[in-house]
Amino acid sequence: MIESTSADVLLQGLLERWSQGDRDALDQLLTHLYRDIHAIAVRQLNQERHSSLRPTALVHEAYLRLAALREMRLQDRTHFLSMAARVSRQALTDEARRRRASKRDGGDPVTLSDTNLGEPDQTHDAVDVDDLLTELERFDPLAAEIVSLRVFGGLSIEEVASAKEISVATVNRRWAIGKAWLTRELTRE
Amino acid sequence: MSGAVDDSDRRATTYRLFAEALDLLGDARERFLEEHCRADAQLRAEVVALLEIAEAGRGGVETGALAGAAPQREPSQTGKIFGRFRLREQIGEGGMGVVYLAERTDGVQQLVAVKLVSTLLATAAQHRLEREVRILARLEHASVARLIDAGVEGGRAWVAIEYVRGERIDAYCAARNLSTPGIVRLLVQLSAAVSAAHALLVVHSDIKPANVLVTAEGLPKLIDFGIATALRESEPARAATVEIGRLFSPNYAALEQLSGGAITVATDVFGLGALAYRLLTGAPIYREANSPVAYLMAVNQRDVEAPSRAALAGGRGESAARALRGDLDAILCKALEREPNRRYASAADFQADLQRYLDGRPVTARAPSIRYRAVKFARRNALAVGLAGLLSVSVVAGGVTVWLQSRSTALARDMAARRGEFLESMLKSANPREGKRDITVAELLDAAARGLDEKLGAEPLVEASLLGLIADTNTELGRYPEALATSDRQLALLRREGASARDLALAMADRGDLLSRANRYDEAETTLKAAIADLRRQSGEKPALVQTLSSLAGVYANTNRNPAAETALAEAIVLDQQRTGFPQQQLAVVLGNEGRYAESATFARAALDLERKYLPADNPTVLITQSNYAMTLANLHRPAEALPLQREVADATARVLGPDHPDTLLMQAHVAEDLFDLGRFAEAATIEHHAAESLDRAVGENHRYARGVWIGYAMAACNTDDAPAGLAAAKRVADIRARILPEIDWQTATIHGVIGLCLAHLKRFAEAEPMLLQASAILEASRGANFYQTQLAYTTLRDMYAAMGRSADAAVFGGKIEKVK
Repeated sequence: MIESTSADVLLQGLLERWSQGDRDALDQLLTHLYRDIHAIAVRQLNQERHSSLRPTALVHEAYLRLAALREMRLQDRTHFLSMAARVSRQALTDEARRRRASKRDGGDPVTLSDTNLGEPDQTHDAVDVDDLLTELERFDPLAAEIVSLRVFGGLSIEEVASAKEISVATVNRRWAIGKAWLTRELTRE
Repeated sequence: MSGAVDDSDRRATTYRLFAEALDLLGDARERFLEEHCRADAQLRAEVVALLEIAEAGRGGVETGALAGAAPQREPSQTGKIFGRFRLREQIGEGGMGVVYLAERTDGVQQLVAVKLVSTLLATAAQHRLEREVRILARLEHASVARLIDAGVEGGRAWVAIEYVRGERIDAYCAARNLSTPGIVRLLVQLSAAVSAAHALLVVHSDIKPANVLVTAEGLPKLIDFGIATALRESEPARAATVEIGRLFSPNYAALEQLSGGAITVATDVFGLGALAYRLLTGAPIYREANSPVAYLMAVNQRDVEAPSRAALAGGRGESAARALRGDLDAILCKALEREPNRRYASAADFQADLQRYLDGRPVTARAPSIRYRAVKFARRNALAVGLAGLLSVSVVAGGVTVWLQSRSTALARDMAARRGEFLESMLKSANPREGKRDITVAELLDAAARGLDEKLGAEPLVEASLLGLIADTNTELGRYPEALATSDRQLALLRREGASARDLALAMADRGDLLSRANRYDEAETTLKAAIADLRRQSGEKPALVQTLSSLAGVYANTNRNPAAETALAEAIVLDQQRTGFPQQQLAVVLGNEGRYAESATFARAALDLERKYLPADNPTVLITQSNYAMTLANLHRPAEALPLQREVADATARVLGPDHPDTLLMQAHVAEDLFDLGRFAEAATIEHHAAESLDRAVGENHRYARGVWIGYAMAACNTDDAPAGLAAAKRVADIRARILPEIDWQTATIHGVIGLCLAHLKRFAEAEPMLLQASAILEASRGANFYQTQLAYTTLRDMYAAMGRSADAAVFGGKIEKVK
């Protein structure tokens, strides 16, 4: 664990301020979250050189560490997870690009597994996924966001619906479309 | 991304066409593609490829990352002919292959579902398919999709099954917002279907929402016996999952499926339980397990969360949770036990319990466990101890019941009559029905004590007797200072009037009881010993000596000196020369407190036989003895025998004393205890709640009876939906008790133990733990480790720690639990 007790206290304070509507607190919280998720990702990558990252597990680990500080309301949980998914995407792809560019790390791609895409044990290049999602944002921003939440945050269909305040049926439909497109592009030779 | 070289407009177009075409089916889609792709074969191929991916992936669009078996992609078989059937469109995908909607080629109007074994699995799966065909051919049930035909075509096996036009059961329930009983009724039907399959030695082993459709008529249908395994009676078949790999559905798979254990009917019980859990709570079991590995770990490591709590956590609201709390919690948790042999033994048993729930009958999932039995001892004995006091005198608003004295002498009968008249006149002078509703028994007693001189001044012995009666009643009400003051007056009067040693001794025996009840055991002992010494000097006062010795035995019992109590009672029994049965009964109580239930039953039975010889069966003394005997039977785990005896007592008491008489209410509470022992908690709680409320009205909440019955109610209620009310009742009793006797003693600890029990049932472990630890420590120190209340506290602690997953702590208290003697 990276966090010290004093950091826990800090995070708790931020959480409380956020729950009272303080947007600055949210920014700071996301900064901490970024650092946290990034650290967990780097730790995992260093532990096992070729292991691929499981974004869902990273987000949940980050979430659990915060949830232990204070019981979040269900609503807060959904919002938290959706924000964490965005932070997770940024942190993981930043690290993936850095490694790809770095000679020291041999330029090995960082892969993602357990992503809700395809088979559970199938892995995808993190940079490819990020690039494709950026492209998808132009065609179908909603589908892109849903896919991003599902892939990088491990949100369930219901959680996405709750976070976006749209119906489960809508999420299901956009997810099916976005996922099919992404799957097609990722498996293209 | 070597392939991503198309210009971005073209890619956007492809995406848009794909998204639009996805909403179109059959010819409409064909026309759409014709129109928009025309000569651009590459564009068309791209869109079709995306459509195929989307449609193949649709089955897997359930929540979370818990994908099931790998879908096998293969070229479309639409239009091809298998046996008598032409495939129309793909409608699904299972672990074994794809499923098509098909029509008959011979002109008969019939739609069927044709399942094609995927080429990849062909070798392993074809054998299983053959088995499936044999199984399904024998299986006919309204709630199972019927097998129509099967065959091999071009090297691949196919099966035609009844095409079920319906909605997935989860969507069906959600769309209709089905009530809890409505969902349970569907589950009952499904369980019957699974049970019919089990009768053919067939296990489904993949029960989940995707495999259950509900028709427009509301009939649930189990489809896809994809990995059904024929059971041999002698040797349970091995899991298909071992050979095939990941052919299970994580949210519904049992531990033995994941670990490669034997697949038995218990596997389907788990599947039915998991399906029920999903439908009733809206959440999968282990909802936080978001990957197959996390699920595997969860099933290995912990029990499912109670459905009522899962429903609450899932935002279903308090009323939905309330409907689940109690019976359904118990039924689902039993079906979802991780160890197969702890689940229901069959789907039929699961079905039967669901039906009992629907019928409002007690469910077997909540049959008494060791904990309930231990709880039972505690309560039963608490009241049995009370009965010993009741044997001297019992008074209530509206009448007087005289027990022992009434049959000892003519004088006593006369006195009893005079006392009855007096009290009746007092009651009439303060008739609650005539406007003075606020008058309490306590006020009445105070008025009576004041009015004695003027009404009965000329009859000091009757006055003394009445003072004794008032003292007893005050004692029962927990008004110890008043009781002691009245007792002082009584003794002074008796001495002044030169009463006989016998009368003095009896009064001192009562005072001894009173002091004992007020926890002033030392004074009680001194008083009773003095009375006994006086009586021993008199000859021919055996009955009085018998009663006083019995009272002293009560003090010994209450101060954890059971051997001394037994010695005193042994003397009393000898002296009694088998005339009253009273000391035998006292001895039965003392032995019961020690957990020596068989001996206890022997003495209770002896007392009953004795009394029946010279008293009519509906005499209150005989009834109480019969009730005590029934309690000893219940202590011996024979509640079914005890129940009719207690019912008889309760009915007779109601007849003799009236339905609102406190003794009647107490006897009803005893009936409730037997129901409790039989696992009929809701009935028990209802009766005890009524009895306790009535007692509050009749004798006031301070009365020992009322406190005892409220505690009984708390114990029963904590096993039902009303656990919070049970907790409130127990807390109230604790408050009352603290007001009457502020010191902390074993009785307080007992009440705290019950509060802890209620908290544990409510899963408020953090509050329950200190309560139970303190209670067990006090009980252990004051009454010893083997005392039944101490044992109760240990049992509750053990079960609570087990529930919390703190197995080391559970083992500590498990080790302290004595085998029932």
